[in-house]
Amino acid sequence: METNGIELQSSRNGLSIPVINGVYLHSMYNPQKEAQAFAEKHEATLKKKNKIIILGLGFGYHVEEVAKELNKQGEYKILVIEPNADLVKLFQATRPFLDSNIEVMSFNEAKDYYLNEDFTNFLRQKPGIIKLDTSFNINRSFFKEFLTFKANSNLGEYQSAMSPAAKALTGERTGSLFDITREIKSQRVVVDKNDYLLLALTEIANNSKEVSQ
Amino acid sequence: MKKVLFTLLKSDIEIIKSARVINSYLQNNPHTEVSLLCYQNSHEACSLVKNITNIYTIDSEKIATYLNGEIYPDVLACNVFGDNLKDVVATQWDTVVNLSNDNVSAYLISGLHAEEVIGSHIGNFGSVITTNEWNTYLNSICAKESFRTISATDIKSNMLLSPIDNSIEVLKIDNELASTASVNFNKIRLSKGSGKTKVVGVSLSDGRGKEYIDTTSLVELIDVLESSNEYKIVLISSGEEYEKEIVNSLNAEFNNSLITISAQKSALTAIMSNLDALVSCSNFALATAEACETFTIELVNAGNQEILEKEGNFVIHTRGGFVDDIVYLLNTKYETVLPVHSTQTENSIYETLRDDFGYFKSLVHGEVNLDQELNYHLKRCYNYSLMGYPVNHELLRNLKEKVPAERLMDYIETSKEEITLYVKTLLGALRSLKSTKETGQNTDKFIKSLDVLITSASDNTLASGALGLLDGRIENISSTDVQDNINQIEKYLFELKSDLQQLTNIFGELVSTPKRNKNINQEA
Repeated sequence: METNGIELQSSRNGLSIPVINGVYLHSMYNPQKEAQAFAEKHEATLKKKNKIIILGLGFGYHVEEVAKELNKQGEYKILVIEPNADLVKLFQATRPFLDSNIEVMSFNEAKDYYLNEDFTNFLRQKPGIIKLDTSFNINRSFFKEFLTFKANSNLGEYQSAMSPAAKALTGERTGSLFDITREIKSQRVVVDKNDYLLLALTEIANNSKEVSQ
Repeated sequence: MKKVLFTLLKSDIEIIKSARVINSYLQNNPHTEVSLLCYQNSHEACSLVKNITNIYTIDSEKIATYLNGEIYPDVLACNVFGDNLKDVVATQWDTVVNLSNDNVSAYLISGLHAEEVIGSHIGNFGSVITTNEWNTYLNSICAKESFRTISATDIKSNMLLSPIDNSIEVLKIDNELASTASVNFNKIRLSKGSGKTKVVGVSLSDGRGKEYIDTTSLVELIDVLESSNEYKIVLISSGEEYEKEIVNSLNAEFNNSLITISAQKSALTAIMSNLDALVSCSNFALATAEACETFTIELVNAGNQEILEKEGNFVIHTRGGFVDDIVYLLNTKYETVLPVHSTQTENSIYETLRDDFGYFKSLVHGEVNLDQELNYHLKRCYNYSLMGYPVNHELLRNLKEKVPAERLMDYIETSKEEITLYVKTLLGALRSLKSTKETGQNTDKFIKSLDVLITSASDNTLASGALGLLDGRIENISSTDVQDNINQIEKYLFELKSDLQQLTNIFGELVSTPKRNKNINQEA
């Protein structure tokens, strides 16, 4: 069966294996055994962290094995990053995860993840990160960008991502927040009440830097 | 209804200690709705304060992560901040108050729509503006003091023109929790055979300066109190891992017989209001106990600032073992005869009291450092007089009677030498300022002299309060006209002259044999 360039084949033990551009995302012999080996390989990470990001959905077998391991230790959460939306759709239609502790996130571009509140909240909890090699290799440039992402600090680039309250604060200003507040401080007189609020905002970050120093 | 917003963007301890200031303000300003603005991780502490209409929070941890992390675009921080504050920004406040006197609040309250702003805030020209002399005191003197002479509560109540009401309850107590606690504590008392047994809580949490009660002292204290039928120890834990380890090691010593209460902040008021006494380092539990009017003994390293202010409690400034001191205080409070190894102590024990001026502490037992005591009481007397209160003549009389005359003279002579240096610099500043005004010359000399005076505010001498006020007053100058500025500075320098004369007058009153008070000009 083929859907949008993704072919679904059956493994020797009857499980569905997606094939993308001739690459099998899981073992055609025993994907579950392969998935168990995947979880064992990352045992040290799974013992230290109960929050995990998995790069590459594949068809979920490795994710379920990781979940089994984490479940032995108590509460856990897994976030799967998969840029191929068609694969995600196919997966959800075929064998969606029953475990509510597993969430799949799918955006085309790396920057969209770092704009997503759920993702950034999850990232702030310092999760472990592991990758499914087959998925990673197919989407190498995406995952490379994802892992080395540095945000564009220009507020002007993110107007569409700004909440109404944030827009009211920043107005039409462009540049990074620190650049904007530097400019405000260089003015002789502060004229806009919102300028004080922006200064307060950067002061919060400065205070945090001082505390950590 | 008046709408008032207090910002409290510092520690949870400060929030609890502000509860009395806030509720006293409400007593003095009926028909007022008070809201609080705090950081998100302080919401639990703010929720304990009585009579608050709304609590607004800023997720500072999220904001700081977003702004300080290269992977996060700044827009995320803007969204969090904007969304957190949208109701605060949309409200037309009658009054906003920077109660915690912090930088973030100083910017923030300037950005809100308010009829009246009280507290340090940033003016149009980017400098700090204080709204009255007490605010100037809070901003310019407190930060430089190595020991607090006027309590933070008194400073803030004066700043708000709202006398402290010590008769009111200021923290919420959950009725169900309190009822359960009451039943359980009565059982604890009866377990010792008497409903009159005193339950003494010991907080295991570290103090704000990371000080802690060592295990040896804990074992010793528990041993003494548990051996008596008149007392029962209860360990109070906040649930942190290190506290659990302490509990385990103590239980190993005492055969698992110890009672431990592990409580979240929101439950502490129910516990504290059922304790007969609390022994603690300077932490949240201590501040809560004080606000709940529990008899409290604070342990703080000598030289550090205690947090207790309210009368009727004790502070032990520790230099060595302190268990005997705690036992001594319990014996005094409850008229018991628990055994002590020695009545001598290398620590200094203070009782917290209140007079017509405000809260103060008085050394009641232990090591006397006379200079330190004179510094504290005289500085308090002087600082209050700087703020318009009358001179505390009764204090001066007591000092004259109780301190050996020679010792007092030595102290005064040393202090006078310090003042003489300031006066010389001050007169130099006035001379060069006059020259600057008349001829435009000697500006450098003037600025240098002024700088010396302002930096001397951190010297921690008796006069540093007056110098701090000079600093604060000058910072408050908001005129853009140079001549105006010069005139204002000149005015404040003359005020400093008068303030320093006031200190000399206090010395004059302290001296036993009557002397003609020398004029400052003559001394210079």
